[in-house]
Amino acid sequence: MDTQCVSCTGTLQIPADSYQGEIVSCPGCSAELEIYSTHPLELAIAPEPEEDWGE
Amino acid sequence: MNELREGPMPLGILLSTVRYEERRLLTELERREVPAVRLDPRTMSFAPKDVEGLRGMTVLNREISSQRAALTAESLEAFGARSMNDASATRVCGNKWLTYLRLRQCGIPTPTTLLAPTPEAGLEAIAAIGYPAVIKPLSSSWGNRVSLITDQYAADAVLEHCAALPSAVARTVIVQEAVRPGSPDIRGIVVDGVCLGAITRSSSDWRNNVARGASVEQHPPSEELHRLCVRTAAAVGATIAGVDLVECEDGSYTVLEVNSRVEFQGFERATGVDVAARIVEVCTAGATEVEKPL
Repeated sequence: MDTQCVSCTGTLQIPADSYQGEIVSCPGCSAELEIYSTHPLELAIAPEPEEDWGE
Repeated sequence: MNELREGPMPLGILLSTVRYEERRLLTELERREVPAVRLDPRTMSFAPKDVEGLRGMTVLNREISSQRAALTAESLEAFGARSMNDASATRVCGNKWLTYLRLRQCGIPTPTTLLAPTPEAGLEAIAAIGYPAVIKPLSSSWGNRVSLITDQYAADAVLEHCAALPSAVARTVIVQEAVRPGSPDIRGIVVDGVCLGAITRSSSDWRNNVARGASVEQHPPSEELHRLCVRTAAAVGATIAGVDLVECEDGSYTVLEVNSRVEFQGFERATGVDVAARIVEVCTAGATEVEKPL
C-alpha cells in the first residue's frame, strides 16, 4: 500500500499485512512513523521512546 | 481486533507499539482464529462504559511502557479481568529493587544488591560492595542508564548525574555487585512453569541486551539452569518470564533480573522455539496457578 509520509510528504510503501501500532521508517526522510490506523491507512509521527520503555 | 464486542469472551491483548514480539503474537492469534480484542493503554481511562466486557477476560500484557503496563494491569484486575502476567508480577519485575527482594526471600541466587535513595547512600553502598559495581535505576530496560562503576571517579560522576535528575524515582538507584562484567550472559524463557530453553548473549559492550545489538546463540541444555529459571519465575509470580542470569566463576548461576513482558526475537532466532505459540496457548487454555517456591 502506498501512502504519504506525514513528515516529508514523500511516498512510502506499507506492507499489506501491517498492524496498527507498528513503527515504520520513511525511506525519504528517515522519520519514524507509527501506523495509527490500517483501515483507512493513517500514519502519525512515532512516539519518542520513553525512559520506562522496554520489557 | 479493536473494539469490545458481543459473543464469546475474547482474549485481550494490551499494547501500544507493535514490536517483533507483538507482531508474532497477533499473527499467531489470527492463525488460530482466536477471538481477540486489542486494548491500548494510552487511551484507557476505565470510565464505566470502558469497563463493560472486561470482567472475566484474560488480557495478555504486552505494553511497552513499564508504568502503563503496571497501572493498567492493576486496573484490569480491579475490574474483574485476569492480567497475564498478573499485576503483582508486573509490578515486581518492573522494579529492580522489588525483584531483588523477592528473589532473596525465595532463596534464588542473585548478586548482592543495595538500595541507594541518595548519592551519599550510593557511595556507601559502592564502598560496601567494592569495585567493580553496577548502578542501575529502579526501573529501566534494554540496559538504559545501567553503569559499570570501576573507580571512585566514575562513582562520583554517575551518582552526581543521578542526583540531578528531576524525578525522585529516577534519582533512586540500586548498587549491585558486578558478576563477571563483560562476559556473556544468559536468558531463559519460562512459560507456565516450563523453561522453553536458554540463549547466550554476548556483545562488545559490557551490557548484553539484544536491543543494544548483542549476538545470541543457543545455550547448551542444562537441567540446573532450567530449574533455576522456573524457580525464579515462580518467585516473582510470573507465568511468562524472561530470566536473565550470568554464570559465576564456580560454574553456578546467579539471576540478574526478570522481565515480565519478555522480548523474544533473539531467543526465537537462536533456538527455533516458537515462543509466541506457547504464550498464546497458555493465554487461551488458562495457566496453572503460579506457586512460590518453598
